[in-house]
Formats: sequence, structure tokens, C-alpha cells
Amino acid sequence: MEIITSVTSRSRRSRFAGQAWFVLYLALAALDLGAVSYTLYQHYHVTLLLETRANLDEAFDKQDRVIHQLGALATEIDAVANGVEESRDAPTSRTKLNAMKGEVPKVLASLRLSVETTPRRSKRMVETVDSIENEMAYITSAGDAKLEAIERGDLAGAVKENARLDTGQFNVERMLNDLATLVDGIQDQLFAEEHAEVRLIHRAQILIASLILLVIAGMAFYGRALAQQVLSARERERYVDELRASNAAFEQLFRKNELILNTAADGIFGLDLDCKLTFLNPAAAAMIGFSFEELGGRSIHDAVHHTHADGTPYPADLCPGHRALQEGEAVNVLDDTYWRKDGTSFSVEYSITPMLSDEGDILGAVVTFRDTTERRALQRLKDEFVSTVSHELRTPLTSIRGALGLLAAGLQAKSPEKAQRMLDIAVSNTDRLVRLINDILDIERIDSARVTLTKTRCEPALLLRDSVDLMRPMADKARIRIDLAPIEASPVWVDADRITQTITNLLSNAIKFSPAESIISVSARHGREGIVFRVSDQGRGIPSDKLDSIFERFQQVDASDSRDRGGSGLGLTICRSIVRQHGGELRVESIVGEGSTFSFSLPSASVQQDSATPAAGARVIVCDDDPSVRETLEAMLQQHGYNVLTVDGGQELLRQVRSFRPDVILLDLFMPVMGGWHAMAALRNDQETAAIPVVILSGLSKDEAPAPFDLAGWLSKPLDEGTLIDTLEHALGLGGRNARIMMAEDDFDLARVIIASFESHGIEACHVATGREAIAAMREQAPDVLILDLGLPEIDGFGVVEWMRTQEQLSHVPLMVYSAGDPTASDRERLKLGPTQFLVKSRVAPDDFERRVVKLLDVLTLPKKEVSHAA
Amino acid sequence: MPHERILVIDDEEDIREVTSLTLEEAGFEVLTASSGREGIERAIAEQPDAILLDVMMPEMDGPATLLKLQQTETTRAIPVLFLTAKIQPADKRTLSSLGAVAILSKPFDPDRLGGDINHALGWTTRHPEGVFPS
Repeated sequence: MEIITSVTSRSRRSRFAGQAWFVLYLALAALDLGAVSYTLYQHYHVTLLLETRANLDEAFDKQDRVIHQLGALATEIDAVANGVEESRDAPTSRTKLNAMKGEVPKVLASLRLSVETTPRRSKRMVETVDSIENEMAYITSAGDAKLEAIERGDLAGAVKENARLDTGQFNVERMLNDLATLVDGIQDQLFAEEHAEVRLIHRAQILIASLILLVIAGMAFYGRALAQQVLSARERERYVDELRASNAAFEQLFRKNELILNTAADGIFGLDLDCKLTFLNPAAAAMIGFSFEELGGRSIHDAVHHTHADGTPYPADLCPGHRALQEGEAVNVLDDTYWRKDGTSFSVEYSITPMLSDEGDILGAVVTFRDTTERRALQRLKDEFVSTVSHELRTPLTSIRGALGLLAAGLQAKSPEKAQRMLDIAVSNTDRLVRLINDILDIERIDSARVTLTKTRCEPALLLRDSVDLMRPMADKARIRIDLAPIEASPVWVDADRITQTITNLLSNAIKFSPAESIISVSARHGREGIVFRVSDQGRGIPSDKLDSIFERFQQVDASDSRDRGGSGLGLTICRSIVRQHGGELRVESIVGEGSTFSFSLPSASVQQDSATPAAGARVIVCDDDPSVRETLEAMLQQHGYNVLTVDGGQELLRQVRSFRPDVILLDLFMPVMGGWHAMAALRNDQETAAIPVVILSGLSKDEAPAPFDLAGWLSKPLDEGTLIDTLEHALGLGGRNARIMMAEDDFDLARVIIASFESHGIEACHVATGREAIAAMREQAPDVLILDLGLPEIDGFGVVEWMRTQEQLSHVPLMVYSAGDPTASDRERLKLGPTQFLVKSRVAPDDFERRVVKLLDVLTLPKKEVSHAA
Repeated sequence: MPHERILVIDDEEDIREVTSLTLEEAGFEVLTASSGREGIERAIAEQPDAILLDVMMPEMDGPATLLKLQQTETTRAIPVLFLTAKIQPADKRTLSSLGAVAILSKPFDPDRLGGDINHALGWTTRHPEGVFPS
């Protein structure tokens, strides 16, 4: 969460930086717009100016033309006057002059107009025009006067007038030149101004170009910033995605660790550097009786490790935890004491592993501990047993060794009678030693269930008669009568040899502890728990405080006399083990001075046959190279109503399997020629036999020989009948395959976690991510349990259930629906299929989830009738 | 010189017999008792020079018998040796704290039992060459 917050603030910062860029760009653009407008305005201004100039030029041209016209007119007038002298054609000249006189005012008017409209005209120009007018009038009058003089023939007058004419003409010329110069001056000035204006425009244009460049540069920068922003946004998205993925992975890891911590049988807790608790798993909390909250902030040493087992204080600085935290070294302690909240203590072994940072700094430690009370008790029991067995073996050996030692030293020569006595002692103690060793081995084998009981249908009357017959000589010798009551009990389902051993042992005890001329009575009757066998004597009885201990190993009421009677101290222990293996219990009732009665019950054969009915008629092939195993299994299975075929090896199995068509195969692994795995590979390769469930039968355990195939079960030799039948029924019930769970869940991580936990329990689970996939997968194969997320993509949970309702074979599949929220009552109704459970995601821990699924699966192992009933 | 008298207390008849014969052959005078109680009575009555005491006995076992002997004025001074088949290290540790002079193991070598007793008690060995001097 924290990480995501920091990302958001980072994005805020970068957005802010983007805004600054944008403002800068806007400012540049505004500046640019201003510059362009100004330039446009300047252009407009220049255009106007140029237009004015064009007009001016025209005006100036006109003036020039008028000035030339005037000049020409003045010259013409002069020329006309002169021409008269030369041609003497006065009338023509007069006509010309008159025409010119008519022309002059027009030209002058035109000149005046143009001068008066000239911009920046000076006063001098107007004065000059006035002067020109005067001069032109003078020229005209001089021309007139000359012509008149000529017409009058006044040559002198003509010459005089001609001089005036010349002067006038000269003056006009001068004045016209002046005017032209003035006009030129104005023109130059205007041109210079215009030039300046154009230069200004050029400058403005350069400025604008620079600004445009600047804007382009700004745009480039802004664009780059924008691009960076987009890139960084993308990067951020990717970063957030990665973060989410890593958060999910972290979450998954966390869940896994939590699961491990929560399900660990060992106590696990964490320490910081001050030896204070950082976490505590449920097993640890249960063992020490403190919750995490109760210990928070307290030194764990002060809470649970404050005192030695002998009650002396345990200073914290001598605590191994202290050492581990100081030196960073792992510490293992095999024998120590922890104290519970209620003040009681228990013995523990623990290991302390320091947590180190990458730099090697000590961050804290993890402590794993185990309550060793039970193990210690077991160890003590074992030690006591070894000590007792050692003692029991050494006792007869002492007599033997001593007697033989004396004989070897020459006792025979010295005292033949004593030597004979020593020989007797050696022999009888050797016998005792042999019996003892046999019994010890026997009880070991029975207790560790390494003796396979071969149960058959036996008549209680026969069992009792055989036993009594065996013990009769001993009883006769002790002058004791054994009274066998008439037996009406129905057959029992037992190992006849072992039951005979038990009865004879009880009879032998009774004979040993009964006085001569007394009676031992033996019977078998129907009782509440089956057939009850009884052996009663009239011996001295057993004190009530010894009644419990007589069944323990080497516990005799009175060691001295029992040994005189040749017991090993193990007889009753063996009897009890045998009876327990048959599902019964050996009991004793006794009154001191009156006698004892030992009794035990055995299941009647009819009860066994009742429980055998579910498998009635099922066909089994037993494949084992050991004939005794084949015989035993055949007898057992036939007793349970199976149709049995035995074969002695893999090849024979493959020869028979097609014709016998078994429902299940019991297969030994290690056989000569073709072993179990080979045979199984061949079965699986043949389509006709591939689906037959196979139960492995081996001296090895399942873990010792990992199976390359799916198995319907594994039976370790020696076989226990109950397990054999259970395994076979299970194999037949499930069609020889593991339970199949389908998980429809679009959250792959969650699916992976849950499927992994199923797999750890040997439950096969397949995963589909959408409703459509779920339906497609179920078309292929019906699951045994469907775990359904309601919020599936494509087709949601409701849709999947509705479709399943329409499918005959899927309409009763056990269903576990889970969703983010509580489904409403009507939702629940819509979702109900077979046995249906509803779970809310957030409220279910993974282990709880798994437990519920396993519970649902338990429904599957019931016979099919009951499943449909439950549905 | 009178023979040292040793009281053998053991619930096993065969062992009593073999031990007695062994000790007699080694030159001791032997008394026997088949239980702790009988042993204490005989010890009080007969005042043996040493007691050879079995550990595993019904009712009153070796350590209980030793305690009783130690608590009884007239038997307190009599040295006691355990003769036992309980020879696991843990058993030996327990026994050694009880105040017996020595712990001798079963089975024993008849040739050496007398010598071991003499050695433990600091008595002069009368038959250094063995039980049956030729």
C-alpha cells in the first residue's frame, strides 16, 4: 500500500512539472502571436506606404511632365518669336503664339494643382509656381510685344522685346529647375523614409523568424517533456503492474508462509534484538499458553525461559538465545525447560537461527521448539524396558555362568553331588533363557504387527478342546482337573494357532497358581461383543492393586514363585497383544484366596461376513510369487465374498487378465522374471486393461518405492486383514483413481495456492479460468467436486450451475461455491446442485478451505446410494 | 583364624545356591536369605561380616533393604555389596549413591567373586591362586 502511495505522489510531481512546461509554452506561443500580429500590421502599413508612394510617383511624374511642358512652352514661345524674325511670317507665328497663350494657363493650372497636392510641399515651391506664373505671363507679353513689334516693323522694338523674352525664358527655365530640384528633394526624402520603413520591417521579420524558431524550439522542448510524461506514465503503469505482480507473489508467499507457520506442529516464534517477540505461530502459542498479544513487548526469555528445570533462576545473559542474538550463530539445545503461562513447565528441544541482513547484521532470530515431554517419557520407557530385559536375561545367565564356572574349576572331582546340582541349575536356567528369548521375540513381533494373522472360520469348541488337550499332562501332573463346559457358541473369525496359544497360556498360569485337587473351568459363550472365552481357577487370586500391572511386561504378582513355575513374565502380555490384534480385550477378575477368571471376547464369523457383503462377487486377481501369501490372501478374500484368482507372476497375470476381467488387481512388486511395475506398464498400455485399478502389495512402504503409475492403493506386508479389505473396497468404490477436483477460478495465483495444497494431500486438482472452460472440461470428464468462483469471466458461476443442471451426470456433483460477498437466499437456491457449500472468500483461510473440500470428498467415499441420498 | 561370614540376600533360589557354593569354595562362611525382610532379620541375629545384596527383589528391593540396614543400630556398621544384573549405566549411577561398598555384576565369574569381595572390603586374600588350590 505504502509503495503505491509513493508512486501516486511521484506522478503528481511529474504532472506538476508538465504544467510548468505548458505554461512556458503558452507564454512563448502568446509572444509569437503578438510578434506575428505586429508584423502583419507592419506589412499593412508598408503596403499603404507603397500605395501612397505609387500615387506620389505618379504625381511627381505629372509635375515633371508639367514642368517639362512649361519649359517646352517657354522655349516654344521664344522659338515662335525668333522664328518670326527669320521667316517673317508673322501671322503664322501669331497663330502659334495665341495657341500657346491658350495653353499656358492650362499647364500652369495643372502645375499649381500638382504642387498644391504634393505632400510636404514647401512654401518656396508655391512661391516658385507663383514666380513661374509671373514669368510665363511676362514671356507671353514679351512674345506678344515682339510679334507686335515685328508686325509693326519695329525691329529695334523686336530686338528689345526679344531680350526681354530671352531673360524671361531663362528665368522660367531656372525656376522650373528649382521646382524640379525641390520635388526631387521631397522624393528623395520620401524614398529615404520608405527605405527606413522597409529596414524596420526586415528587422521585424528577423525578430519574428527568431521568435518562430524559439516557439518551435519551445514546442520541441514541450513535446519532449510531453513525450517523457507519456513515457513515464507508461513506465509507471508498467511499474504498477510489476508492483501488483510482485505484491501478488508476495501475498502468495505470505499465504504459503502463513500456512506453513499455522500448520507446523513445532512451535515457531521470532525474536528481535532485544529478545522481544515478533511473531508466534499457533502451535507455539498453544504449547506455552501465551498469545502473541500477551507477550508483545515482553522479553520471551522472561516469559517462558526464566527458570531452570530444578527451579533455580535462569539469567537472561546466560540464555542461548542471548548468545545467538549477540554472535549471530545458530544454536541447538536438546534439553531445556520452558514455562507455560499457568506456571507449569515442559521439557523442550529447540534451535535458534539468527536472521542476518545482506550485510551480515543481526536483525533478530527465529526459534523453533518442540515439546519433548512425550519423547522423554517414551525414551524412559524404552530405557526401562532395555534395563528390565537386560536384567531378565542376566538372571538365568548368572546361575548358568556361576554353575558352569564352578564345574570348570573342578567341582566335579571335589564334590560330585554338588557338581550334579550345578549341572541341573545350568540346564534349567538355559531352558528358562530360551523361553524368555522366544517370548521377547514373539511379543516384539506381535506388537509391531509384523505377524500376519491368518484368520479363518473356527469353532470355539474345537479351539478350547485343542488347548485343553495340550495342557492336560501339566494339569494331571499338578493333580488339577480341567472342566470344559459344553460349548454352543457360533464360529469365530480368528487365527486358530494364536488363539490356541492364548488359551494354553491362560491355562498354564491357572495350573501354576492353583492348589492340587482344584478345578479349572473353561467356557465360550455368546456375549455383547461376540464370543466370550473364559478360564477360571480356584487359585490364590491376585491382589486388586496388581490387577492392572499383571499384563505389563515382566510384572509378576510375585517374582520368586512365578519364576519357580517357569514363567518368563511375558505370557499375559503376549496373550493381551494377540487378543487385541483380533479386535478384543483380555480382562481379569480375581478374589484373593478364591481364584481368578481371565476372559476375552472375539468377533463372531457371521459379523465379519455381514461386513463383507458390499464387495460380494467382486473379481480380484492376486499376483504374488510367494505361495503362502497367495494362499493367505485367497482365503481371506474368499471369506469376504470376493471372487479370487491367484497368479504367481507378471506374465501369468497378463495371460489371465483378459479372460478373468478382474475389478481390481493385487500386485506384488518384486517377483522374478516380470516384476510388478513391468506388469503394470503392460496393463496400462493395453486399452482393455488400462482402467483396472491396481493395489500394490509390497514389503516396502509407499515412500520407499515411489510409484510411476496412479495406484488405487498400497498395502505393506505383513498384511492386516482390516486394511486389506478397506483398501480393496476403496479401490472398487472409486474405480481405482484419485478424487478429481475441478477448480474454476480466474485468479491464477489463488488457484495455484489452493491446488498446491490439494496436491500436498495427494488430491488431483485441475484448474479452469472461465465459465466456458469449466463447461468444456466437464463435457470431457465429470469432476468429483467442483470448486466454483461465482465471478467468472465469460459465463459466470450461475451460468455454469444452470448448465450442469441440464446434464444428467453432472446434476449431483458436490459443489463448493465461493464468492467475494454473501450470496442471497435466492442465489443459494439457484446455485444448489449436489451437496453444496457456500464460502465467502475473505472469511476462509486456505487450510480451512482445504479441510472443507476434503470433508466434501469424504462424501465421495461413501457408497453411491448414500451420495445420491445426501444430494 | 575364623572364616569371614557373608550373608547372601537374593530372591532367586538358583542364584543363592550358586553364589553360596562359590563363596564357600572361596573360604567364606555363607548365610542366605530369600528376601530383604528375611535378610535384615538374619543380619540382626547373626551379625555377618559383610552382606551381598541383590537389587531386583519383590516387595522389598535391594536399595530399600540397604536403607533399613543403615537405619538399624546393630546392622549399620556391616559393609554391603550389591550383586546385581541391573548394570545399565543409569542403574549403576543410582545404586552408587546409596552407600554400598561396591557394585558387583551378574553374571559373575566364580573364580573371581571372592577376590573381588576381599578387594572391595580390604580383606587379605586368602586364596590368591584361585578357589581350589591344588
